[in-house]
Amino acid sequence: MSELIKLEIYRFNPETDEKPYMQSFEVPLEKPGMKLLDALNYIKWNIDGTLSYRRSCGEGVCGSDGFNINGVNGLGCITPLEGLKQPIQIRPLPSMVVTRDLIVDMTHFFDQYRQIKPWLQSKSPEPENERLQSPEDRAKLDGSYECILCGCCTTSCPSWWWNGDRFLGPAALLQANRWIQDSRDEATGERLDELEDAFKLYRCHQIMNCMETCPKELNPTKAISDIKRALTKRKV
Amino acid sequence: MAGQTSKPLPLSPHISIYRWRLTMLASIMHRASGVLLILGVPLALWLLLTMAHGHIGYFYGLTWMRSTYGMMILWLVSTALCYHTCNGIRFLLLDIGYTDSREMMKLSAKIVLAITVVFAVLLAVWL
Amino acid sequence: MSEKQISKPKDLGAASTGFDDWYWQRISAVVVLVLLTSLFAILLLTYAGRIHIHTLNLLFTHPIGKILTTILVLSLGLHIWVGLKVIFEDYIHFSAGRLVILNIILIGLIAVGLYFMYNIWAEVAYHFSCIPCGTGAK
Repeated sequence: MSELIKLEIYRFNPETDEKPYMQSFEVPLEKPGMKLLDALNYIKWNIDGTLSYRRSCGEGVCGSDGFNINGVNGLGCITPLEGLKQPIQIRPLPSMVVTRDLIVDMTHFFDQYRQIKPWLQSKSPEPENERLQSPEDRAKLDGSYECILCGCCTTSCPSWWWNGDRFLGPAALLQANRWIQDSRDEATGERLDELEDAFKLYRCHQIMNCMETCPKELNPTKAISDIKRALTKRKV
Repeated sequence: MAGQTSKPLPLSPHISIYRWRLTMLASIMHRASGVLLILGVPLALWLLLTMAHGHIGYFYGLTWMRSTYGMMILWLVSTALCYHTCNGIRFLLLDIGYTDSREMMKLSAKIVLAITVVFAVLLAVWL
Repeated sequence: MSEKQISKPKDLGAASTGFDDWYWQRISAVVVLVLLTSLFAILLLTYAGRIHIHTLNLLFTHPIGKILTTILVLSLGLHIWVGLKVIFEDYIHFSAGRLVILNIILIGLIAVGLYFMYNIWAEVAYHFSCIPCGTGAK
């Protein structure tokens, strides 16, 4: 006889539902260390097969199962069920267009990622061998490259809620900084030019929800501060 | 899908469901105290200038400051100023690249809120 | 809600703005930090009776006091202006509405600033203007 866990899950089927609603479920705590994603899987496989959500790797690497869990964003697959206040309320990532149940439209999020040109840009001729980087310069990328683009930070940001059409959001800006800091990248000036905008960058008011919510424990607020400092340095 | 495409899809809830974190509170309070100070500080400045420029103004201002109303407003504006100043220093330190680790960001928010609460209580006792 | 659904990449480029707002917000903050906290200390000390009218009068009629007050009013005005601008940019998404509101606020702030300047400097101006005709203020 195992303990029952109470969950309330955001449901919306565009073909049948007028409005979204919260549905209650009870899931047995089968084994210690069970994660939230296991509970969702249990519901999908044993209770209600129509429940829709994204998942893939199941261990916090692919970044597809970002949800709002008890009011805070996080990945279902690495959030332990134990310790969560019941009923556990699971909603889709905030301020996103809901396609169905917990699935949101990530198109705009990835558009914003594309906007910061997340690839190495160089002007100097191609070297014979690989582009070298000192260990110190490589260390500057720590805290940026680990990002899995799950969208937890960007959708937790009030500035992005109000101005998401223009403000790039913490995830895209963390990656922008990643390329600004990269010693091999030769488009730093252009990158800074493109970010110097009251809405694209300076909507960040250090609310720090992004830092609080990041499942990989990264710090997008600091990355945005780094960009602001880089812009300051080239001006004053 | 057919025939259904025109119906707008819902936007998932945000501010109404997001749990308040301390740093989020610190940020919105910075804004709220700032707006309050826009009303309060010019008033205080005007009061001081009036008091400095004549006997009548001085005694009128002093009487007003010592009335219940005056005391309440003085307390409110001073507390807001204390918070806005402390959190402002916190933001400035962050901007120049100090205290910008995840731990310090959370800890500094706690410190700023604690200082303000202590200041508010002490000021209330003193006034 | 609906504009988010038309998820097309619409990159309008950067307006090269924002830096100045951010920068001056911080420069004015430092000035205000020093001067305004002193001012509030003076206010609270006056309330407590520790600062007498004569001291208060001396503080604000002395040229250094006047100059510091002027710097404070100007920095404060700048700090308030940028602060309000950012708040309205955050919450009002209707550009024309924002334009109107922000310009009304700007004019209002300038008016209040001028009123303070008058308060601080009027008697000096009066003093100077009356020296030639021999009927000076004193």
